[in-house]
Amino acid sequence: MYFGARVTPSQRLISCLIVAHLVAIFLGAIPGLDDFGADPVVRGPSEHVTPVTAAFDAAAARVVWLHRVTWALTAPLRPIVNQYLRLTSQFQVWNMFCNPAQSQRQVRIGYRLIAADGARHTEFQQVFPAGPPELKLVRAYFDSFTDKALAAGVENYRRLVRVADASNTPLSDDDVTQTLRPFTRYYASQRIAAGLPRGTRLAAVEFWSGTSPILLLGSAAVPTRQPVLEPTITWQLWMTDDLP
Amino acid sequence: MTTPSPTARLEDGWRRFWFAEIPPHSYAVLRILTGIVGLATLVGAWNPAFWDVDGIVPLSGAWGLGPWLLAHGLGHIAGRLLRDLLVIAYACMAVGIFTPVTVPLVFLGSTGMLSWNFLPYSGAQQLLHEVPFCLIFVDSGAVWSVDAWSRNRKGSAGPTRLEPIWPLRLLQFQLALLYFAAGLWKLGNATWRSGQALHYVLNDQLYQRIPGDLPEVFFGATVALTYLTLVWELTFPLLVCFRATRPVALVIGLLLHLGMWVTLEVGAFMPTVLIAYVAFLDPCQTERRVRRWLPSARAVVPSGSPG
Repeated sequence: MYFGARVTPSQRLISCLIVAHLVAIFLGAIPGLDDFGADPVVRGPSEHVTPVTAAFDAAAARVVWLHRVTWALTAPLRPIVNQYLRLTSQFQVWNMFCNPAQSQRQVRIGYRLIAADGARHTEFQQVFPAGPPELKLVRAYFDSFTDKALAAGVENYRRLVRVADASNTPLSDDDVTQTLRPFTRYYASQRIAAGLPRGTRLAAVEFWSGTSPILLLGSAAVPTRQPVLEPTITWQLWMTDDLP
Repeated sequence: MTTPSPTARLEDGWRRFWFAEIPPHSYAVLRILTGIVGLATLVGAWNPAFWDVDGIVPLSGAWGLGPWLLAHGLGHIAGRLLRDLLVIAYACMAVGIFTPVTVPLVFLGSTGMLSWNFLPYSGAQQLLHEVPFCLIFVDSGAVWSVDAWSRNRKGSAGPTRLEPIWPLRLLQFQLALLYFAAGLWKLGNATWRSGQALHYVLNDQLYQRIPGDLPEVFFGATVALTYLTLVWELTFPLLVCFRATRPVALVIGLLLHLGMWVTLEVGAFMPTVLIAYVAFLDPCQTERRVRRWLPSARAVVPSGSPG
C-alpha cells in the first residue's frame, strides 16, 4: 500500500501491525473444516419448510462453498496466524449458542465403592446442571462456571466421537481420558474428602451422560416432530476411571 | 487549485480513520468496566477446583507444568496464586493504579489464566481478554483514575493528552468480527435456519433463569427472535459502518443481550459483550455522557485540565 508524506514513519509501522493483526483475527475466526458445514442438511419431505427457512438454507449452501474456498486460499498463512493467536490467547472461536442442544443434558458421577466385607455397590451423584432447578439468581452465577466447564467436557467428548465416526476409527482411550479425567479425578477427591464409610474404599469413578428430549412447543408448525409428553433420561456410560 | 490524487485521498482517509486523536475518556471507561467485569469473573470462578492442578483443569492445562507442580507440592498453590494476583491486577486496573504497568499485566495474566484452564469460561471471556490488549497502546489512566487523582494532588498534572483512535478501532473491528463470525456459525446450523434455535435455548434447563417449559404462546416470538438474531449478527459489521444505522445495530444488540440476561443465566457473558459497545460511542462525547450520568464523577475522580 502506498503511503504519502502525511503518514509518519511510526504510523506506517503501526499500520502494518494493524493490518497484520486484523488479518490474523479474521483468519482465526474462520471455522475449521470439521466444524462448519460438515453435515449436509437433508430436511425430510414431510418437514414443513417455510420460505424463510428455504432462503436461509440456500444462503447457507453458498456460504459453505465460500468457506471451503476461503479456507483453502488462506491455508499457507494459517500456521503463523495460529502461532500468534495461541501465543497471545486471542483465539477467535465465536460459536456461542450456534448449535443449541435439542435435549436436556445431564451428567452424573458413579462412585464404585468396595466395602470391608468385599460388597460392591455404586452410588450416583448428579453434577450437571450444577444447581437445583429453581429461579436462578446469585448462586446460579457461581454454578454457571461449573456448568460451563462440564458443558465444555461433554462437547469435547462429542467432538471426539464425531471425528472418530467420520474417520471410521475407534474412539481413542487416551483422548477420552484427556477429556473426562479432570472431572472424574475431581469428583473422586471430593467424595473421599466427604468421608467414606469405615473400611470402604473408592475403586473407580464413572462418568455418565444423560439426555432427555426438549418438548417442541408449537409442533403444529413443524409436523415431523412429535411432542414428548413424559421425558425420560437416557444414560450412557462414557468413561470408567479406575483408581489405584 | 489541484485535485488530490486518488492515492493521496486514500492515504488521507486512512490517516484520519486510524490516527485521529481523541480524548482519553472512552479508554478510561473501557479500563474501569473491564476491571469490574474481570473481577466479577474471577469471583464467579473462585472455586479452587478451577485453579488446583488436580481440580477441574485440563490434563494439558496449568501451562503444561501440572505434573511438576504436583511433584513439588505446589499443585494447590500455583493456581490460587495466579488467581489472587489477577484479582489485584484487575482491581488496580479498575481504579487506575500504575495503569501503564497494570494494563499489560492484566493482558498477560488473562493470557495465563486462559492457558491455565479454559474450561469454566464462556466465549465472552475471550472478548474480555481483547480489551486490555487494545488498552496497552494508550494511557487509559490519564483520566478517572487514582493515577490522575494523584497527579492532580501533586499539582503535576498537565493538560489531558489526546490519544490515537486506532486501539478503539481495533476493538470495533473485533466486535464486528465476533458478531459476523457468530452469525456465520449459526447460519451453518439447521435449527437456526428453521427458526427453532431460541426455542431450544430458552427451554434448556442449563441456561433458563426461570425453570420450566416456555409457554406455547411464545413459540412464534422465539421464531421471530431467532431470525432477528441471525440477521442482526450477519449484518452488524455493515450496520455499524454508517452513522445512520449504527444506533439501530447497537440498540438491537443491547435489547437482545438484556433479554438474554433476563431469561438466561450465562455467567458474565452479557456485561462482557456490552463493554465493547463503548468502542462505538462517540469518543468526543464520552466525558460529557459520563458526567451527565454520574454527576459526582468530577468530584471523586478529577480528569485534569482539558487539552
